[in-house]
Amino acid sequence: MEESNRQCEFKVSRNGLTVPVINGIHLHSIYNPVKEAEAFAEGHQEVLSKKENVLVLGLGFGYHIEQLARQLNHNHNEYRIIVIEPNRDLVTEFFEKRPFEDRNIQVISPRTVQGLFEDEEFVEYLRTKPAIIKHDTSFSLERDFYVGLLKYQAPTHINKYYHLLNDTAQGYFQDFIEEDVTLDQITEDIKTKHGIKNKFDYAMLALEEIVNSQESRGL
Amino acid sequence: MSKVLITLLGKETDILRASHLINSTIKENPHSEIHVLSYTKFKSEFDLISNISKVHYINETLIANAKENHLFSDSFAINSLFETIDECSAESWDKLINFSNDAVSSYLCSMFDAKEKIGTTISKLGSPLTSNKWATYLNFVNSQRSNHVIHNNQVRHHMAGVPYYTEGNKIKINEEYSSVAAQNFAKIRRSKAETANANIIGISLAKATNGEEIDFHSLCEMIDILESSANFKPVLLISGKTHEKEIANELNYKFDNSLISINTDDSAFASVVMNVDALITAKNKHLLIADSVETRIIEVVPNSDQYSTSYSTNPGNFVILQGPNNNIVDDVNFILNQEFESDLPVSSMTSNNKVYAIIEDDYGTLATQIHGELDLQSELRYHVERCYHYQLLGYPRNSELIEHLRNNTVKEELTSFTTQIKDELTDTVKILLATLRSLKGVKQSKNNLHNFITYLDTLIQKGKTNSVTSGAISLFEGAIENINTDNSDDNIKAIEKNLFDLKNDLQILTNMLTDLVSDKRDVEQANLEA
Repeated sequence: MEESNRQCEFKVSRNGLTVPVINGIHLHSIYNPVKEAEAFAEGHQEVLSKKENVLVLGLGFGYHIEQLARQLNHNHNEYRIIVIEPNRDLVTEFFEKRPFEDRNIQVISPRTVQGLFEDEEFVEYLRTKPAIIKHDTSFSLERDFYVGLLKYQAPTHINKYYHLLNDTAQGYFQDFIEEDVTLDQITEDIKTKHGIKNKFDYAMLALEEIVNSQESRGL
Repeated sequence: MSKVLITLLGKETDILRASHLINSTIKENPHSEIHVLSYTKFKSEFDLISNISKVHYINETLIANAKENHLFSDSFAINSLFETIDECSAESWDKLINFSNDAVSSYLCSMFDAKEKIGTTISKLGSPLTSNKWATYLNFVNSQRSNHVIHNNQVRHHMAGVPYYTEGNKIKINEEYSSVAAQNFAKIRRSKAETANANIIGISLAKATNGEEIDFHSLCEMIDILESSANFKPVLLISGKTHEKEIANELNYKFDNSLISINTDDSAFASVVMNVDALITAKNKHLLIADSVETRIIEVVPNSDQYSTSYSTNPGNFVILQGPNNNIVDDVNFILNQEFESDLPVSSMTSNNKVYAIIEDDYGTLATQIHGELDLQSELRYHVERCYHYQLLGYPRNSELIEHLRNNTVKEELTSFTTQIKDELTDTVKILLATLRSLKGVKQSKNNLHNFITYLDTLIQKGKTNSVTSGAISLFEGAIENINTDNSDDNIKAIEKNLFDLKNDLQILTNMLTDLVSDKRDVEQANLEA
């Protein structure tokens, strides 16, 4: 992310609302940001009626998100919006000038895409299969970040996610840090090569069985 | 205080089924603390079961999502499983019972420490180890057949070394619901002017777990007869599902909205079903709950003519195998007349369906056909096989049963039966002897190993067939799997010993067949003719 190169200024729209301008690009309509946001939410009406959780790519200055929240509030008893915005300066300015009143909206400003997917709470939210809505202007400004997010694939080699494991799991997997192996390879080796050497080998076999016996519910 | 961990990681219906063993364990040792290891998807089931101190959950959906979805790190799946493992490992277990006998339970029971492990675990070489012969029976015999000659509930009690207690609080009963239900049912009982004390027959409209349901025509006719009778009052039981509500509405429409239907969730169902005198139901959760509170059950199995193990565990229940397009009304009336000494109309003394009564003998519960066309060969096979299996598991011969079969079966039928069984037995003995011969060859030269393995495999495959010897062969297979040595000579010796044990086990069957057609009968017949 190249935050330092971003030139951020703030203008006031004709109807008196703050509009950020980044590298000369207006994030919202300079005439009427709320009207523009209403049209934006209306464009997503169908998905908002079906999904109660929404992941928004791009904070802008929040007008479009407030309109999305209004629609969700109308359609569902409970709803939740998570906004991903990598521009931390913009996020700081937003919370200083006009933070959300709606407590169902949460803004996350991750340093890296991988860091975002290592956050248990975010992953738990993704498991609810939220609708994904992008704010086009924000998306173009941070294209590399958002494309990286949408194309993200978690590392499969244990040494790449060892730091995320809990103590017991780290204890078991420490022998594999030097090796470039995946969980599947370890399980396969237990089954076909060396049999049970460690009592946690049983846990690996159990894990494979649990996965095989459940239907995958991917995004 | 004895701490017991029971794994319930198989089918959802296993949770309610486990209520019997949990109750028996507590009755046998009231100071036991029972914990259960299960999946989060079964959470609501545990709201129903009594006597459980704590449930440890495996979050199976999170694990599967995290492992299968490329977005998520496998670390979430690993951490989630290891958290549950840590929780269970922190306890000091006196007993660990693999109840559901599934792969995950077997792996986890193998990794946890416990003073005593009951059921199937997995050896370091990856083969299934069973804690005793009953556990072998559960894993190698019953898990491979749909018709269990020994009910799994009995197998599991034997396996755990706990006697079966019918009575006890197996299901949580909400006192408030129970009190309201008792008052309402008292009113329903008084609703029949003639008797003022009608027998209440609950009719569950819930589908069976396999999606089958009691046909609408039978429901209408049954309700009509019960409503018109002086002694009975039908009550429709539904669990809130739209389909059940629709059937209830349709029935009510047919009976001018005069029917009583009770819509209740699972947590209140026990309070309701305790108050009915008999429950007519398909194989579903209603049946399992009724069974746990000892309500008399008439289990209907639509589109079936082959007896498969009853869902209920208690004697005094009935099973109707309903043939395709058949009505069950006569069969239900036949049972109710027998149980309540009533005179509901039975249009024919024969039935196109088959009705079984669950009764009890010295071994345990059994199903015996009491109505409908009797397939004598199948009945004989069931009783002989059951008697044989109990003998294999260490029980004495039920000579009374053999004598009863000998004295009460038409000679031609009995001869036909024993000829068939002897053929099956001869078939197995031939393979067994060939296996033993090939084993001798292995002792002379290891080059003969392939030949031996082929015969051994043929023998084990015989255990997967419908042969009457399959139980003995499957127990043999279990014994072979339990051989835990990597020394090939020791292995061969152990297999040889087990082959001779199997030979002895087959001899038990031979003796039983000899007894079945012994001279006594011929002598008696001769006397009669004289």
